[in-house]
Amino acid sequence: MNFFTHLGKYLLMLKGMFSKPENAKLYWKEFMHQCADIGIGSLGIVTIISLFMGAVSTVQTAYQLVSPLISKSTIAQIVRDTVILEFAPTLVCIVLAGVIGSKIASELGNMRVSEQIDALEIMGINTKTYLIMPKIAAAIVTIPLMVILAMVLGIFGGRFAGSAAGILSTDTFDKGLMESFMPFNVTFSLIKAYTFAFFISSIPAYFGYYVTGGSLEIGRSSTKSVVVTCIVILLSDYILAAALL
Amino acid sequence: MIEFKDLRKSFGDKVVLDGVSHVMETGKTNLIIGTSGSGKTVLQKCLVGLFEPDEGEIIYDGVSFTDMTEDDRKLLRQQIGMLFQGSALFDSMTVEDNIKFPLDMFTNDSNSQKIKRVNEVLERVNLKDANKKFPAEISGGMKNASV
Ligand SMILES: Nc1ncnc2c1ncn2[C@@H]1O[C@H](COP(=O)(O)OP(=O)(O)O)[C@@H](O)[C@H]1O
Ligand SMILES: [Mg+2]
Repeated sequence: MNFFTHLGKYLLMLKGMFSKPENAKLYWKEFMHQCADIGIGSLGIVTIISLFMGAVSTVQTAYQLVSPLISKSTIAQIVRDTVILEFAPTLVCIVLAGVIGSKIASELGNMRVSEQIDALEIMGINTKTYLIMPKIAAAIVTIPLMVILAMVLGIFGGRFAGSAAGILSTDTFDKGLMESFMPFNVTFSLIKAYTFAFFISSIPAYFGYYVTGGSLEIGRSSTKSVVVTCIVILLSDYILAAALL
Repeated sequence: MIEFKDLRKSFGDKVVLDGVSHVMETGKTNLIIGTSGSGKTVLQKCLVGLFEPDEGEIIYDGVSFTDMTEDDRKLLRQQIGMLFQGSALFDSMTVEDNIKFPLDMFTNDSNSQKIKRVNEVLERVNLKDANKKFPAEISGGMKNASV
């Protein structure tokens, strides 16, 4: 199948998702379940990478800025802006594409291969609405929240690493944080987060939902879905930056 | 009564059903036999609407499947039972929740009514104490009993 066949099938899947839920209460339960799975399930990894990416950017920025003409507080500014603009949304979402994406693809793939999706269809349940919609909704709600958390923890990690390595004091860091701050950067970063959240959930859902074959194919399509999601994230990252900055 | 005429279905260039016709009369048991991979499951899935045949017509009690609205199809499907080769139980739910699921989805019965129904069903298939077990913990035959 070529690219346009996949794209068409993907768009039809998204369209097929919009139908009236058979039972609002069960759908709500499924949505909450997915929020816990996707959101709380990824908190640990998000915390760890955020702290470290902040710490590393402080140390490396300091290493590159050797001129005595530039004040130390500039380091904090640079760390703040790279964390908010790029690291928190993009890096975190790339990692989440692996964590959440492979989970969604293999969960749906397993349901497809073991005929659980067929069984739901026989009962007269719209499986696109029941299985895919709650996952996408949960990702769109929880992933931007994790990106905000990553911004805070990333900056905190940078602040801690700066003082621990004797590069700059926490006071200087805090001063730098408040210099020429642009609130739009946060807005832009959240626009990215919402976009990526949609891809992280919908692309693996497509690959999982339409899997054919057995357990071997589930693994293969889950890997493929992660690769495709990462490429789409990087591509849309570039397009959004070119369009909005 | 289910009647199908000249059903054709292929996957890519692999022809699975090549003009199958038959009338299944009410009250009679019909048996489909064939070697593994000959298309028994594909035929069944066409009959319940999980696959769209490439050609041919399926008529349920005089109404053609193609003439039915999406709502008619849903109602029809709820009257059809199908036993899947892989049992198709939800691995993440207990046996009790598996049986309760369609009741949760389509009825407004109270929980105790639903549990009562679950126990009736389990008793009938001699799986009385399996309520809280997960599908992975029961044997193949026991699984089929709960579908
Ligand atoms: N979704 C599908 N996509 C492609 N080929 C399929 C699909 N489902 C079944 N087939 C092919 O159709 C043939 C008949 O399969 P099936 O009806 O499952 O056989 P059986 O008679 O053993 O139940 C097999 O050769 C299988 O490879
Ligand atoms: Mg079969």
